Amino acid sequence: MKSLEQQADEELMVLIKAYNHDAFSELVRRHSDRFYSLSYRTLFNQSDAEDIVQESFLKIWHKPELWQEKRNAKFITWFYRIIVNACYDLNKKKSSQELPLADEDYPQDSEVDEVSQQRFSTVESALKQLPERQRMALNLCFYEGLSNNEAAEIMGLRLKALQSLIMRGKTNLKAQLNITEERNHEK
Amino acid sequence: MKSSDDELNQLLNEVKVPPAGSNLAERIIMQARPPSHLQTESVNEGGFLKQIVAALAFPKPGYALACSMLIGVLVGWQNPDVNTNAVQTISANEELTSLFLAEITFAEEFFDE
Repeated sequence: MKSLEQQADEELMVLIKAYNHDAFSELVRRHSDRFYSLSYRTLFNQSDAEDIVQESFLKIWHKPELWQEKRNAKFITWFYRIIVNACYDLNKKKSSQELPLADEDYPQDSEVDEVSQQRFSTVESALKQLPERQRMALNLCFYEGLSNNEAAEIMGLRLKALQSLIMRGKTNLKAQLNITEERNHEK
Repeated sequence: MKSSDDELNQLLNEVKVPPAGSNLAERIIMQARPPSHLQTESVNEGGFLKQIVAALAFPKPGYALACSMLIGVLVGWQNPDVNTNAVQTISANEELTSLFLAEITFAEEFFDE
């Protein structure tokens, strides 16, 4: 018999449906960091990102019947969709309250030199200025390393629409960061 | 020579995510308690004593009423002094007699007039 660590996410979900707390613990330990990263890169706020991950996991604990076993359905893809929608909802709520998107409490590393810090904040602010869906498409494909098909499924888009979002996102970023082909050719 | 895509990728890779505060996973696990009906209570000495006392406690009024009615029915059923058939026969005879007498009285009054 396989231990919990050896079981696939989908097998753990079957156990969670029977309120197996150990299976739930294993699933949370396995994936919480990954989903936190995505939430943070979407919201740029540490405590909001943690709340999103926490609420989403607790939702599947309290309502495990939300997970419907279908043929070839992957837990990861399904849960990414939950996180993505939760982030969209929070952003919508925040934009209606007109709160700043930036994380004011994010500690600055004093050891990082000024140039790197400046470049880091420039890239981060460029990412923040991207439209939400372009940012999400880049997050899923670039940072999370998902295939275009998986990202399209998570975002509920057709493949071409996703590719278009990525292209536009990259173009916008390059414009904001002043990256041009000519400049690179000059180097 | 770097392409613009490579330069962008390099810049994007420099954006780091701050670590989640004080063990996010354990906090989530702690908050997810098993439903109360699935929690197994440990049977310690105090718990066992409580169970005994609860078993000896007076029953609820509904149970008490139902039990007393059942006992009453059983006692009534087994008591040989009370013969319901005989009682019913006697009362029926009395009713018939009184009815017969009433009819005779009515007839006498009718013919007298």
